[in-house]
Order: sequence, then structure tokens, then C-alpha cells
Amino acid sequence: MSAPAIAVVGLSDAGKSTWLGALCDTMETHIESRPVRIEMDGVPALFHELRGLRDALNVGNYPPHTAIVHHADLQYPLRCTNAKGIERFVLDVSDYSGERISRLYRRADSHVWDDGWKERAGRTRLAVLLRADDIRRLSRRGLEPAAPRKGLAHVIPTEHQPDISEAERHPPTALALIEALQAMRAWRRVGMGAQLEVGAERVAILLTAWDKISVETRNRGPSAFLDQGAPLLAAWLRSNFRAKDLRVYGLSATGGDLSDQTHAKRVREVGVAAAGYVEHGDPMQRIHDVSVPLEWLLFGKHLSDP
Amino acid sequence: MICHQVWHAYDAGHGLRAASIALSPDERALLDDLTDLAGYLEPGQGFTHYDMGYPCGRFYAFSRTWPDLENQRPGTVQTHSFLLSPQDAQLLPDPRVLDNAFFPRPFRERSSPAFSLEINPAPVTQPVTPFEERVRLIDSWFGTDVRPLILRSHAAESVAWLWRRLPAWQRSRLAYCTYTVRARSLRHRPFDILGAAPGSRFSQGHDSVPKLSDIAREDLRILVDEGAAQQFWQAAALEGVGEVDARLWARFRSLEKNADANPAAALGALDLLPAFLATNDGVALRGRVVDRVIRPLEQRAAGEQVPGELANLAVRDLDRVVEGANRRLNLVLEAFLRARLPMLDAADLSATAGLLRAAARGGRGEVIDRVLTEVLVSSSSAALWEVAWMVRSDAAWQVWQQLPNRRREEVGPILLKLSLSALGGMFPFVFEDDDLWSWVETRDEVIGFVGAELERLIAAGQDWPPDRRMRLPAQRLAPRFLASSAPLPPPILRRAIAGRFCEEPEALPAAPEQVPQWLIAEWARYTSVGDLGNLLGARPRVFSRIVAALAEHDPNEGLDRWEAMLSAASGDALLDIPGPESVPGRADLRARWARKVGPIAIERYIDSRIELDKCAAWVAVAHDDQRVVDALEGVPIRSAERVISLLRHPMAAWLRRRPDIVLQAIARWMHTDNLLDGGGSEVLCAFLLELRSDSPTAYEAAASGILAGILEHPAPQLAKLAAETFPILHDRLCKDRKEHWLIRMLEHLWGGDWDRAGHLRERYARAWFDARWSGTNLWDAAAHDSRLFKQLLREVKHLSEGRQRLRGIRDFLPDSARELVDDVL
Repeated sequence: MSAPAIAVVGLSDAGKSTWLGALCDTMETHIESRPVRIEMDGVPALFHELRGLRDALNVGNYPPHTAIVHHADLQYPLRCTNAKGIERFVLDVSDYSGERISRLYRRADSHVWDDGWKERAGRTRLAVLLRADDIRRLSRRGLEPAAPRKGLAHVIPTEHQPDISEAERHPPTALALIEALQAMRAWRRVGMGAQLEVGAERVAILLTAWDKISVETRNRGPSAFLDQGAPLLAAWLRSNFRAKDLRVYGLSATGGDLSDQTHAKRVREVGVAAAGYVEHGDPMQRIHDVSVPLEWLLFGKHLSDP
Repeated sequence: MICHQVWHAYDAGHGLRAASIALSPDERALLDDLTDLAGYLEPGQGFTHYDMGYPCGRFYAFSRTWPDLENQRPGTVQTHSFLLSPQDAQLLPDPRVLDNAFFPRPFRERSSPAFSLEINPAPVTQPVTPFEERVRLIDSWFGTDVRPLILRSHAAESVAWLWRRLPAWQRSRLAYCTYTVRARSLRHRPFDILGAAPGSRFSQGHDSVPKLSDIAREDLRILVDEGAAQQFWQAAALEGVGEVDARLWARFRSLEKNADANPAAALGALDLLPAFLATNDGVALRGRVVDRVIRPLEQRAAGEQVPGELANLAVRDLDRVVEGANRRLNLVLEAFLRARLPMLDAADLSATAGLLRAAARGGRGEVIDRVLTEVLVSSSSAALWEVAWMVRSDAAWQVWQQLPNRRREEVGPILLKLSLSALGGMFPFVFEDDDLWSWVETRDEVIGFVGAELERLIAAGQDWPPDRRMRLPAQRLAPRFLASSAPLPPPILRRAIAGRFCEEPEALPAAPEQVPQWLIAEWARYTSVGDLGNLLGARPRVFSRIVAALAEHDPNEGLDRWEAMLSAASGDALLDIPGPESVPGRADLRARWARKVGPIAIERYIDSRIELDKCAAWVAVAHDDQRVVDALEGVPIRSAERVISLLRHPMAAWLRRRPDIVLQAIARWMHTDNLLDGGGSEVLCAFLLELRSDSPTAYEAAASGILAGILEHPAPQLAKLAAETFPILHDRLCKDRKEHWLIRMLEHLWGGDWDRAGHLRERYARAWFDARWSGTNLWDAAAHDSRLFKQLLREVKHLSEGRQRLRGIRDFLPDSARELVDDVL
């Protein structure tokens, strides 16, 4: 049987590369006290790009943009080592680049699958990244000269109607992600609103740039934030996945803003693995290990929890 | 000609920013992908711009990509593309005419509207390339499934050269890129990577155009060289070494010579080491440096006794020195390997292997593995794979397992040759790898190669039997050897193939005549009966040939093996085991075979209900009645019809002499429902009729048994049989049984031919009378058929006290029946 694969999905600038870089540093930083360790599992050449992302972070810069064509091969064999043994899995960033998800949203005849999508739409473990501080909403037209009105447009004021051209340029976060996730489920012949049995699929929502959210909002927890910040996405997720198979994390892969020189210096000193953290749960807890969501995706629980 | 413009740049994702024409989704998707090809760059790496040209939907696209330095996010690009109709694109004399038209847009103008241009290139000149060259050219570009062609590393000149030489209609099918792209990054795209780099055969001289695959291999090699050399010099610069020159080399040598006497000088030599490691002499030197300098330092660091002046250095210093030396050596070794490994040829093998081994012993295996894996991924150099195989086989093996099929085509034969040549025992694991052999089995040329290699090894007197490492590949390849028109394989191969087919007989051809005689002989002579078991089950006809071959080869030995085979055979496998006619013709031998094998054969044949001819033949030669009797008794119940067949068969003459045995068997069959399936009663009737004419006594005995069986297990299918049987047996039946049987008989016959059974009526009436059954019983037995009821009543009336009895039953009958009684009375 092939190893399970975790797909990483997110729009452009969602923080995928930053998280992967921090993840790489976490994997290569040995911490005695950590009971569960995610490690690389393959020849070093396979992790060349991943290390490049890590290196950029550790000198205090955000990683460079990853070209579309290069997404095709970004699959990393990893393993999770804990007291009970070793679980091998694949972290798959391939073909879920922000540009491709945007394209999926944009195309009228959507779900035109290339081979990469077909191969990977079967992934049942998804890490969905969206920037907590930049959840893009559907643009409205504003007060433009009235265009011919059709259908429901009669009852919707012009300024509240969607701005299609802007939406194509910058797809609304929730809609684009729902479109992508729904398309992947459709490929697997899972109907809308169908909830598979517990454990059949798991989705971890990673709210990146979590440190940029105000303390009061953060304290209410990532789930509450998602409900408030992306209610459509939250409702869609809750109606399509079982509660046990859905978890929301606040993720600060770098622990702060690298454009802040003070923080960038700290990252240079301690390394991004030590600086990054995730927050989750109720009551909320902070864990300085950005690989925790992978652990949950693999096992449905945090092995390190008591 | 009209020239549409498109700009792509990064703005929360790379995408279309402005276009002078509406694009279809497919065109836009392709442009989105190919306008952002630069991808991951190492720190410090960069580029000024690169050009591409490719078919794109309704257009042919020419584009230029720049790094987007204005964008906050690093790694982003901006691309300006011109879209021409394919017809117009063909007319361009050279893509470079657009050079001056490309320009990057300032950040704030990225999304400004774009407009189409009208350009008027120089008058078209058709290429003057000679016809033969053009054919070769087209063949080299398009005679492959790999498309489009992407050129690498400042290949604009090559593109222009190619463009000028291609006929116009072919230009629009060409795709090129003057940027380096990592081959494996283009999976799931309709592209593949092939290269043309400066200095390659392709770009050096255009007098001959090699095949595309040759271009690719050659250019990739050179490109790897370039990259490795660049990294080497980067590493060397980091170390402050600079370029290697003769003076440094001489100084190092002198310091190194004095290392024993003056360790401090040896430490100084270390600083120069990186430069020398890049030379051939440095390769040989590496081992000595480890011995004389590094190792004492490491010993000292570990607290061991170190002689000479090294002992005077502080441990802290030593640690620092050792650490620094190690780090430097790692760096330099890595740079050296990157530079040198891709250029390896056979002459360097020994020295390089020595260097790698020494370095690995010195704890630098990780460095070697890292470089090797990176280099091997894109290399098909036999020398490189060989050295990797020899020194770091695990790393090489990991790379092989991760190679795509296309690369395996190139590397596979190299690994096989190395592995097969390595009977010294270096790489046993390769022989156990299903992955490799599954791949081998699909390649005719590799099969031929392996076969030849095996023969060569055998001729060289390699150990056998059985060398496990040789047997496995031979077994894996067995079906292919059969399929090929190969001559007689050598003995070890024959044995391996024979064993393979015993394990997997389904791989054999279904037609036995397609199995070569040498294989039959191999099985007959050397393969145990146990091993042949699978073969017997799956390919009995092949098996029969084996037995025949065995008998021909050695009757004495064959006797035992045949006996064992017959015992092991089951079911249909017996069908094709040859009969006694295949026993060699000598009378004494035949008699021996008959005595020993005959009884077993008879038993097995009868038991299996098949091959009566052979069974009879064996009976004829075995003369062992008792065996047959015993066997017949054990005949499975369902095979009753086989007995009948036997009776009609030449063997029947013998069986008729022993009807008791047949009847015993029949009596046993009667007690099962199986007899009733599939016309069992017909079978038994036929049997009885056969028997009646041959042996009345036996017939009566059989009928009695059948009747008893019917009474025990009445069933409609047996009615006819009973009707035939009863008249003979009636008088022998006891009273109770008779009555019971009569009722049953009437029930069975009622729907049939009553008139034919008329002789039973009287008997039935008497039985009814004797049993003092009720009138209703009789009425019911007649199925309320007035005609038959009256016939029965008449029979009863003629009996003594019949009238009284009828009067007695009258009142208990229904009205309609009562009238019938009155009529009869």
C-alpha cells in the first residue's frame, strides 16, 4: 500500500512556501523533548527546494515566489516518528499553486483537469492555508453607471453586485477555496454536502499570519475567527466534513513579521523552527512546532497530547 | 502583420495583467504557465532575461521574461509576449527581429490596457538548407514524442540558426526556451526538457545534425559540467583559494612532503588542499592527506596519543583545526565531485573510486551521497554509474528507484551490466529487486544482453549450480527466452528456466509443441516430481511430453517417477498422461511397467472418471482384476454413467464377469440423491438392460437392489425404472413392502402410461385389498379418475370376498365415487 499523502492547498500569498520552509527547519532541528517528530524520508536531492525555502527564512527573508511549473514536482516523502513506530507519508504541494486554484475558479467550464489534478484530487488529507489578515471578499461594483439588469439584479442594488472582472483578477478567498475543494471532491465522486465516515477525509485549516491578528480576536480561537472572517467557507466546511475531521489552526510560521527587522534578527538567531508556532483548541494552546497540523492530519489526534 | 501583446506579472499570484486580445481559457492557461518558468533559484543565482517561443492555441507566442525586481516578493517575474498567427509567425525570418520590441512595464503600469501592433519584418526568405539536411533536421526535432523542444542556457543563437533552416510550415511547431529548466519539474505538462547549451555538439557546428536524443544526452552532460564547475569555483572562492595554479600545487607538495617532520607545515598544506583536490593528482593525494594530517588531528582531538609537534597544540586549537579542515574538505570535496563526476570517463574510474572510498572511510559518505544523487539523477554516463555502483551502491540504488521510466531506459542497461559482472558478490541486492527485473522483462534488447552476459559468465567458469544471483535473473527472464528464437541455453539457464516454469506454469505457452524440447528434457531428467506438481495441474499436455521423454530416457528411473506422477496427478491432469503405449517397446520392460504402474493407473483413471481407453489399455497390460474391482468400488457416485460407459466399452467384457462389483457400487449409489441428478434413472435402466441380456441372475440381483433403493428413496424419476423392474421382483417382495411399493408405483405411474402398466392393476387391487385400506384411499389413488377407479374396483370385485369389501367401502366414498361402486357391483 502506498503511503498516505497530505495535499497543501492555498491561494497565492497564502503562506504555503513560508510554512514549508518553517516545516523544513522544524524537521531538521533536533529537539530532545519532542515526542513526535516529522522527518524527511528520502534522498537529500528531493528536498532541495524545501531547504531553499528554509534558508531564505533563516536569514530573515520570506521565501521567493514558487513558479507555477515547478509545483508539478513538489512532493516530499516524509515520516512521522513516535513511540509507537514510524508512519510514512507524502507532503504534496504539487499543482495546488494559488494560480491554479484561481484558474479553477475563473474558468467558466471549470474542472478541466490536467493529469496533475487527476492524480492528486484523490487526496483525502488536506492542509488548507489562508491568510488570516487577508481574507479577500467578493468585490462589489460600487457606484458605477447602471448596466442592463437581468434576473435578480433587479432587486440587488448595483453597488452590491459582484465585480466579475476584479473577482477574476483576485478570486475571493472563500469562493476560490470552496471551488477547489468541491472540485476535488467531485472528482472523487463525493457529492455536495455528503459527509464521509469519520476519518475518511481530514481537513486542517491553517490560518496563516496568525500573529498579525489582534490579541482579543486571537484569544477567541481560530475556529471562531474562521466563523467570523470567512463564514461561507466555515459553513461549507462544516456541512461537508464531520466535526472530528475538521480542525482549524492559527499558524504563525515565522512567529512574527519578517519585515520587522527586530523579529527578523531574532529569527536569524534562533532559527525559524523555534520562532514559529501554531495555536488551536479550546482553551487555546500554543505549540512551538509548525508540524503539529500534519500530525493531526495523519492520525486524527495529536500524539503528543496527554 | 498584426502582433497582439500580452503582459504577465505577479500580483497576489502570477497571472495575466494586460492583453490586447481576448484569450481562450486554454491559451490563457498555457501562457500563465510558461510565462513563469524561472522557478526556484539558488541564493545568488539570477538571470537577466530569457526568451521563449511556442505554439499557443490560435497563435504562436514569442515572449521574453525578466526578473521582477520591483515586486516586493522575491522570485517573481514579468513577461511580455507577442502573439502572432501561425501563418505570420512562419514568415518571421528570425525570432530575433522582435528583440527590440520586448520591454518590461513599470510596476504601476502593469494593468494598463494593451494594444496590438502592426509590424513589417523584412521580406521573407525561404531557407536554402539542402534537402537532405532539412530532412535530418526535421527528423531530429520532430522525430520523437518529446515536444516541444526547450533549449537551455543562452541558446538564442541556436534557436535563430534552427529557425532559419526550418521550412516555414515547421517553424510554427517549434518551441524553444533559452532558459535552464530542471527536467523533472515539468511532470504533468505536455513538455519535456531537452537542451542545447553553448559548446555542445549542436551549437558548435551545424554541419551535421544529430538525432534529438543524442543532442539531449550530450547537452545535458555538458550543462551538468557547467553547473558543477560553477559551484566548484563558488566553493573555492568561499575558501579563498581562487584558481588553481602550478605554484600553489608545488607549494602544497613541498609542505605535504614535510608533513611528518613538521606537522605545522602539514596544517598549512591543508589550506591549499581544496585547490589540489580539483586535480587528478589531488585525487591520489587525498588518501595521503587523510592518513598524515587529518587522522592524527582527529586522534589528538579524541585524546589519543599523538607524536611530534602536534601534541603541543592546544586541544581547543586542534578541535578548531579539525572542524575547519573537515568543513573545508567537505566543501571542497563536494565542489570537486560536482565538477569531476559528470566528466568521468573510463580512464578515471579507478582513481575516482579510490578517492571516493578514501573519502567515505574518512567519514564523508554523506557528502558523496548527496553529490552522487544529484548528479546521477540526470546522468546516463556509464562511467559515473559504475563508480557510484562500486563505491556508494546504496545511494545509486536509491536514485535508480526514483528515476522515471524514460531515464531508466538509459541507465538500466548500465546497471545490469555492472550487476551481472559483479559475481564477486558486491551487489547481490540488485538481483532481488522486482522493480529492475520487471523493467528488464519488457525490453528485448536487454534480454539479449542478459542472455549473452550469462553465457559469457558461464564460459568463464563461474560457479554453478546454483548461484542464487544468477538463477534469479535467469528465472525472471525465462518466458522471454522461450519467446525468442534463442539457441539452446547453457545448462544453468536451462535449469533456472525449468524451475521458473514449475513455479509459474501459466507463463508457459499453452500449446505443448511450442515448448522447446530442451526444456522438456530438462524437466524429465532433473526436476523432482514435487516441483512438477504445479506444471502438471496447469499444463497437463506439456506434462505428458515430459513423461514420454522420461520413459525414453531411462525406463528404470522413469518407472518410479511415473508412478509418483500418477499418484500426484488429479482431475483433468490425468487426461494427458500417456498410456502404456508410450512405454518403450521391449516386452520385459513393458511387463515391468504394467506390473508397477498399471494398477495405480487403473485406480487413478477409474477414480477420475476419465480416459477409459487408457484405463482399458492398462487393464489389458496389468492383468490385475482385483485392482480394478477395488477401484470400481470406490468410483464416485456421480459417475454412474461411467459404469455404463464401461459396460459398453471393450473393458466391459471384463466387467461383465464381475457384475457383483458393479452392483455393489450401484447399491451404494442408490442411497444418494446424486443418482437422481442428470438422468441417473436412465443410466440405471440402461445398465439393467445391458445386464439382463448378459446375465439374468445378475440382473435380478441388481433390480432387487434398485427396487430396495426406490422404496427407501422414492422419487418420480425412478418410476420407469421401477415399472421395468417390479414384474420380475414382485414375488420376492415381502407383503408389507409390496403394498407400500404398489401404492407408490401407482402414484408414479398415474400421470404416465397406465395402459402399459395394466398388468399392475390386478396386483395393485390385491395389495389394496390385502391391506384393508379404505375406499377413500383407493379413490385417491385413482386420482378421482372414474375410468381407472372402476378398473380397480373390477379387479377387487373378482377377488374372494371382493363384493363384500366393496359394499363395505361404499358408504365412505363421495357421491360421485359411490355411483361408480354401484355400477361395478
